[in-house]
Amino acid sequence: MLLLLSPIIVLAALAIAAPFFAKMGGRIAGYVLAIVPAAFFLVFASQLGPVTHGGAIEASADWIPAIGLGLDLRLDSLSLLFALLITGIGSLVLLYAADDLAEEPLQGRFFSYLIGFMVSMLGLVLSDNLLLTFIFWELTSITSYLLIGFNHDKTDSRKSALQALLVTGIGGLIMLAGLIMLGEIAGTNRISEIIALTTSGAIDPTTHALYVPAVLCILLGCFTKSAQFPFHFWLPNAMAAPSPVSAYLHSSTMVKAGVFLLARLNPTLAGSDLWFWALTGFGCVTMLVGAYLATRQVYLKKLLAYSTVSSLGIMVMFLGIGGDYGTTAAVAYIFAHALFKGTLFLVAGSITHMTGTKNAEQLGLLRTAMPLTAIGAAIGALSMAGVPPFNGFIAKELLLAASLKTDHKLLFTFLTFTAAAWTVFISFMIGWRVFFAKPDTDREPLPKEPREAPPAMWVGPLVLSAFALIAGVAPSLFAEPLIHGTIDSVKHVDPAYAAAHAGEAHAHKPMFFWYYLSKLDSLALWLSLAAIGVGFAWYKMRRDWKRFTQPIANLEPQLAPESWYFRIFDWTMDGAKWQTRMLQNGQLSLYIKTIVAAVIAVGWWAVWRTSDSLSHTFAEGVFMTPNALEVILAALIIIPAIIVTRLSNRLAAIATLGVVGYAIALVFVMFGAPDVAMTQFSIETLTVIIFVLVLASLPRFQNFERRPGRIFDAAISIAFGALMTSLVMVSNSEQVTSIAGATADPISRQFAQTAYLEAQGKNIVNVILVDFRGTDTLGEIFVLGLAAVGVFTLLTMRKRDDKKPLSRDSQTGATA
Amino acid sequence: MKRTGPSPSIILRTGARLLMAPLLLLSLVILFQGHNEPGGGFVGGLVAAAAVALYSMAFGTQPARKLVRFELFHIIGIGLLLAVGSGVFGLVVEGAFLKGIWTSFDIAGLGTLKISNITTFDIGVYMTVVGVILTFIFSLEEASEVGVMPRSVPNMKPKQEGTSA
Repeated sequence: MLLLLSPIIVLAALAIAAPFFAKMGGRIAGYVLAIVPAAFFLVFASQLGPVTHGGAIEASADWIPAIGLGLDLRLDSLSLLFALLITGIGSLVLLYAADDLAEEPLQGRFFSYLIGFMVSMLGLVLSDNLLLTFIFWELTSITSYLLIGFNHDKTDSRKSALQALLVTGIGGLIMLAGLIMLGEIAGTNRISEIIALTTSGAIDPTTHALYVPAVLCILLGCFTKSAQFPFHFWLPNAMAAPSPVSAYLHSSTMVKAGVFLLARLNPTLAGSDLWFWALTGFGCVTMLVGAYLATRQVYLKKLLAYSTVSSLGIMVMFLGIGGDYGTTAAVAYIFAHALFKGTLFLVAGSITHMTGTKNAEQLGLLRTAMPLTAIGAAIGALSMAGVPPFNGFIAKELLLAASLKTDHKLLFTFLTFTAAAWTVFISFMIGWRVFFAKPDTDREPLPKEPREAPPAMWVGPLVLSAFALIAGVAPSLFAEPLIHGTIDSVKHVDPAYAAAHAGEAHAHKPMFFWYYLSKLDSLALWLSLAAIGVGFAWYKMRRDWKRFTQPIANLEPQLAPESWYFRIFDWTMDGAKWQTRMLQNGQLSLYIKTIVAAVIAVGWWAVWRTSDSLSHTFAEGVFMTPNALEVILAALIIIPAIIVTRLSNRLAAIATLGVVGYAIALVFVMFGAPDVAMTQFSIETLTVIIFVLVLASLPRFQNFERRPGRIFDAAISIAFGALMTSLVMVSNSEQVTSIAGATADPISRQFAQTAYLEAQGKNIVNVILVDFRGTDTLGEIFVLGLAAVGVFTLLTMRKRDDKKPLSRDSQTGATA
Repeated sequence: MKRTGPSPSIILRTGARLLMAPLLLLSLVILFQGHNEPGGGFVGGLVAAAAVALYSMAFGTQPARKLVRFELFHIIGIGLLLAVGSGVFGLVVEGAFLKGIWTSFDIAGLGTLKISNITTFDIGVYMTVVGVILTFIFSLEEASEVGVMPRSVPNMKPKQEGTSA
């Protein structure tokens, strides 16, 4: 329990405290803050042995049991893999940010956001509850929004942040619907239970009626989050964020949230054609589009961003291919990618920080000035290109091998090979072009004379690239158990197959580079080496390639999916303007009409659906002959109500309405509701007082409405009165029919029975207000409090700003 | 013209002074008997606010504010805190937000006093309502006293105190 909860609680506290630390210690604060996630990294690492052997750690506590939302946490291999990446890379990134953003006055706030994101992400991967997953999912979207928009004085940052939030946020909301449907299919929101039910064959989600909508909704959430085509555009734009953010959120962690959730739910949802084709199809297109767009970039971070889009496509595609090969390839690639892409993003940040330029073509031979950064960059690039002995090589081998095993091997292998070659191209751009190739002779001078980055900024790339090396040459240390364990938690196993092969030991593929390098008869190996050659050739001919693809690039503004984002955005804004013009034109009577009309529509719908209770009321014969007092009261209500519509003097109108109000209060008295009567009397009195205060300041009463408008107003009023009458009759019925069609005793009876027993009160009205419906009352008094703030501000702000009358118009209106 | 300060009517002033104490007492009675007899925090708060409103009409808002003694927003804030706190108390002790927890004391010669976090919740409602209604009334009254609000009488320049246009 403590193991899983403490990182979340401690880091959340740290996120709140970070600005204070930064105020005290500046750059040192960043170093100190980095220790905390590093410590949790070690804690998680210590669980490597037991967890990867199937011993998941669980913890859970109730939160809102009524909707199946619990604080259910679970650490299995997949969660562990991500938890290690989040805390490990997070710690390095904090360290890096301490120096990279040393000049930033709001560094404390930055730390706060970054750690806040860390908590959300950690919660997401540890969550074992569908709804809890959603909560953390949205928290990552929000923290990401804050981080992308961190340079909030730049329009680009703000726009990109909003774009990322809208795309991933809308996807997330749709995903919520999918998660709820999945919970309905399985009958529980506990993810581990759902998986257990599916793998044991107790339920088969793929045959459930809700399967298709659930999968579509969940996929939409995952695809937007993990920047799959056609939602990929937000990710390159998110590069407006500071480099540590790009390295952390937009390469190694947040964008993988979608992939993570797909992997998490893969054992349950896979096994259908829909799942297979949606994942492989979108993944494959994303892989190619991302890689292709990357080859046209020269700015380091954009280059890496598009290559990340491509990598995310690869992960999704191979999860979709599934089976032993596909799953192994996907998991190995997720792991390898986090290490090399994290490295390269940090390197790209350092380059820009130390040289002042982002353009790869302007750089060259940086190895002499930045030797340590160059080592990190070289290893990262080699791993990305798939050169042995780094673990990127193993991942690429597995990808090619898996595509060779599919039913459509020619197609998939060709496409994977193309993407691999383009990835090699990108590796040369950042690893070779910048650090080892000679700079162009005609380049512009660099804004800054390059120097080696400060230690905190090269430590990150070096540590990450060291892991990439160790994972390849000494896999048994951590890479192999972690990857093998994760494959077990991700792989979809057909229940029938599992039953037939129960008890058999399952052999995983080794993760040692030599194992793959020595298989000289394997086609995958030769393809992998060929990809390096092709990629290099492509790199050499990049100028021709750019010229060749220019016509396609010219079409992008019209073709790109991003243009649809802008179109929909504009339509929404136009729609908002239109409805504001229609509904909120500044004329108060229209506002009231709108509200009342909406209530009438909804209310009559409810009455119509429950018309059974209405007829019940009639059948019960509740109508009695009124006595004289009742007739007088009715007259006291109806006659002033009619008179008030004919008056053109405000004071008279208010006084007349007061008569209606007091008469209604008398009705309450007569029918045994002294509480309500008392409230009504007080409200009437105070209303008159407040009206009198305002009255002196209002212009002369004028009615702008013409005859048809007045008839319409009368119709609305009558419909509303009829609605209230029907509602009263419905609620007085002995048998209430709910909107869903079920009949039940009216709730008032239950209140009457339990008021004294459960809430120790004899006054049912009050017991309802403060106990049964206490939370409603709480909400209401908060609204009241806000109204007071509003009134106070409106009146006193004017007092301070200018002492002119509230509105000139009202005066001229009065004189006219 | 809008008056400022005390009302010229001696009847109003004397009446307001006389009615003040009984009305406030009544509002407290309404508040506390609410659980078993007609009443409750909301109505009680309205009655108390009406009493103070009457006083402010008789003597002006400044004396009325002095009578209340506390900042209205403090009253609202503390009322809301009390209401939320009562809810959280139920959450912490019984595991459900706003769950009522009752204790009773025997007071010699008077009977049994039952008290609970629901009582404090109702007190919170009372305070909030008093604060909110008085904010409405005082703000409006003061706005017209200072001359912020326009006059209904046309062709007359609003009185501008302290500043020249």
